[in-house]
Amino acid sequence: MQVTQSNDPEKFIPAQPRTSSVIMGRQDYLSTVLRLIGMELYKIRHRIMSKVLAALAIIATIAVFVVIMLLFLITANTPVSSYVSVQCQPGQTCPQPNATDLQQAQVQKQTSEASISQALRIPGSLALVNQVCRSLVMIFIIILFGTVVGGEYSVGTIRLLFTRGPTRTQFLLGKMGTALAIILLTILVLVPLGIIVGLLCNLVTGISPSVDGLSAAWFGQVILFFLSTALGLFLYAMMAICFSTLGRATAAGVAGALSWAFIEPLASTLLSAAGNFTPGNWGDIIKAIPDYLPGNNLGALITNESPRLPNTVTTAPTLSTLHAISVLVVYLAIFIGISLWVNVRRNVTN
Amino acid sequence: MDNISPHHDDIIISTSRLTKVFGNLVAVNDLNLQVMRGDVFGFLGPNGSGKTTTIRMLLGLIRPTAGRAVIFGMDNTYRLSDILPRIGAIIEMPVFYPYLSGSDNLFAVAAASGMTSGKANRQRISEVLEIVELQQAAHRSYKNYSLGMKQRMGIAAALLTDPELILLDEPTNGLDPAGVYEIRQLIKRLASLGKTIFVSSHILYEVQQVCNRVAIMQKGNLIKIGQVSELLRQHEQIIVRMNGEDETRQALNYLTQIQEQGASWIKHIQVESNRQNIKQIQVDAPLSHSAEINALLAQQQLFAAELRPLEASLEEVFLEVTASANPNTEHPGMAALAREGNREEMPIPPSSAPNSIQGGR
Repeated sequence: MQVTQSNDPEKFIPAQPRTSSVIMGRQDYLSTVLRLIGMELYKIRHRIMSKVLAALAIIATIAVFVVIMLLFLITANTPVSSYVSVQCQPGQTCPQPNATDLQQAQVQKQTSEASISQALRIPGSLALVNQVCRSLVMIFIIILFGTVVGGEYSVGTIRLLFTRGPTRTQFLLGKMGTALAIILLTILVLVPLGIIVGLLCNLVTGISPSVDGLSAAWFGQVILFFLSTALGLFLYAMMAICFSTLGRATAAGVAGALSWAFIEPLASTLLSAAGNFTPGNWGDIIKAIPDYLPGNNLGALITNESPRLPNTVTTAPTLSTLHAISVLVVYLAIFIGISLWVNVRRNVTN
Repeated sequence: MDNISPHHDDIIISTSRLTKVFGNLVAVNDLNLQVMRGDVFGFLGPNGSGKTTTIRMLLGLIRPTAGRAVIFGMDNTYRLSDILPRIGAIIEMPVFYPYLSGSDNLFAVAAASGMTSGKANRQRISEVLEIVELQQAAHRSYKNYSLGMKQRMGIAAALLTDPELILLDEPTNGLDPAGVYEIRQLIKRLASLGKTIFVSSHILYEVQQVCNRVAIMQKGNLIKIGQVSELLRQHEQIIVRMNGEDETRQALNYLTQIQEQGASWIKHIQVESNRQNIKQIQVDAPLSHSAEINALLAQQQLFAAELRPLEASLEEVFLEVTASANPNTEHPGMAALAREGNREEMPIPPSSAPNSIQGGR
């Protein structure tokens, strides 16, 4: 061979200067990850799917409040007489309600109206937005991040990414950072939207929103409440990323995470029932399993954070906040760990 | 600046016993090759010969089972993130985000490549789009691009960071003849700028036109490596046409004797029929010996009616070395054609050393 054998292949060859039109950014680890987050957000911003999902989330949030407003209007337009409960004897004509009956019915109607319209005012509106986030937005987040990661494998762009310079870990961290950014952004948009739409819908009720107890501590509690929601959404995003990475496909991530989300409550119920029917220690063990599933811990965490909102009915915590956070962190570590390990070790052959 | 000035004896890529095994399949076996700075290195081989696997190992997409690859003097197992920013690559059919336009895709690639985000690199993106002539389609959705446009997008992405080493895996796939010509010109232009180019291709004519060195792979093994000019020289032929069959036979006998007497520059001699079914002698020898053959025959009072140097093509070299390395080649007919052409051996009297005619390469 004509190769100059005297040359040392191990001799480091310094980089040549690039043409002046190529402007490189900072190359430290964090800057690279931040740039990759920027790239992912750029891609998501240009996707029709993400625009549709964002629009659906906004429409759903507005729709939930509008539905409650309509329920209120239906209740308000129901005659007071429908609330009258009169004892009728068989075979006899029902007696006409007296003034006391009508007064009681009026109170009952007002209570019903107040109860329905509570969700339109703070803090009820916050709880309602939280419900939207934990149900519909969670599904959207799973679809989005199952696609964001699985799509790289399905379309084949993974090899484009992995040959550009940053490490595979940085690429995955970029996607995780993007998930976090999208989740926080979603909550930051939906919460004020829910509050405003709720207040607008509340105008028809004629009930003035109370601002009693809205202190700095209360705001802190609201932040914790929605951070718990964000943690839950982030967990399901990581689940979708993990399944997408394992299955190298969008379908794997979306179907895997959605199946988990929908099967877990059913599995919890079945396990609890099975535990009740199983005698002895085994029964206790089976009954305790649901306490270590992510959905239950997420629910417990949010429940534990919500009672401190003023005017909210306090329920006894089923699982402690520390327990819930510990379990969720372990699940996060498992999903992120598997994704990182598979991502780094895998041969890209597609 | 001295320490970063390019040296043409710099070894840009060096593989040492690079091996990849998938289950029972040895995709790449003990590959040793070196690519020097400024080389336009052709990486050839039939389908499944291990070209793409090798390129993927160089880029860190696949871990080698054994051996190592050193690029820019750095082991790619440990210093991949220092190596990759200096490389531009296309692996098989380039793929981009279908929902983004051409320029948006390049913005994303720029960010992934460590270039500043935002508008700062707009000029560079315009430059590479201009190089591959996609400016008009820059804002069209990538999913609406034709195959050729997608291929050119791949090249644009590969050139985006002005890399020192460019790895192109089948860069002319899907391109029309004009597109193929453009890519050839582009590779020449990049080579003239001092870029090192590693190109795998099935289009051997193109490789012959642009590459200075080639390696030929067969079933994971490197079976030939060398300067293109050297490989072609080894396959040069001189066609000698005499007046009539008698003179052809005499000339053949004489040249065979010369070969037996130690003229090692004659590798093989045989008689073939040309398209007009006229017998002519085919001497496998460097073209520089044409005049010598003419003089030798003239000394014997044998005057050639025609003496024609025949340059070899890389296609012939390729088919011949792949066929000889593996007689059960997937294209035995093509290999046979490359070896034999439309040659027809002329009956040679037993006294005239038939062994030399049968021998050869």
